Amino acid sequence: MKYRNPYQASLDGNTVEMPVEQAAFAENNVRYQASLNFINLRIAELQFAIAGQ
Amino acid sequence: MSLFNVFNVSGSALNAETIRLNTTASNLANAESVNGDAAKVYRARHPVFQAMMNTADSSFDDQNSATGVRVLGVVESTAPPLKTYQPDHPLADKDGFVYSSNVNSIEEMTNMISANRSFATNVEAINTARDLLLKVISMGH
Repeated sequence: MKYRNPYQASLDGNTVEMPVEQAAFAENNVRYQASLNFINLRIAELQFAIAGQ
Repeated sequence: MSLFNVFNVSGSALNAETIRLNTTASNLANAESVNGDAAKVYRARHPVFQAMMNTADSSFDDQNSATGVRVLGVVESTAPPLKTYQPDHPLADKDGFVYSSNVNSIEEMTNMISANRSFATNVEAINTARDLLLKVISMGH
């Protein structure tokens, strides 16, 4: 198991930093929605091919 | 590993931050409370958080990615209470000393700000998980 290295050391040794996690969360959100968009476009392609118009 | 775990994990975080805000509110309310007995005066209370590790095994798999937080309990601060000499105070002990609580209001206000930020961020995580799941359900439409 790997741990993140903090930009600033903390008194109690906690290496979780809010801005780092928020940035990673936002990036994950964008990637997830992009993947869903790609899947939807795939399905639309197939429907277009099936419907023929 | 599904997105539904986010609800459990962030739910535990909201619960922990609520407990933290409750203890902070108690401390702020009792910041000026006094007692004649040093053992009975109000002492600042802080919650203790612990990560809920699901498995003791720390191998590199994805089973450990949904780690919630648990509140072990609320501990009282061991800082000494403030001792002032007020012989006319109704609660003064036989030597005229009155003990005030050891609450540090500035520290409690920073705890409150931190709890506020953590709560809002975890609510944001829940909202995001909900939006992504709704998009998955409406895939293809």
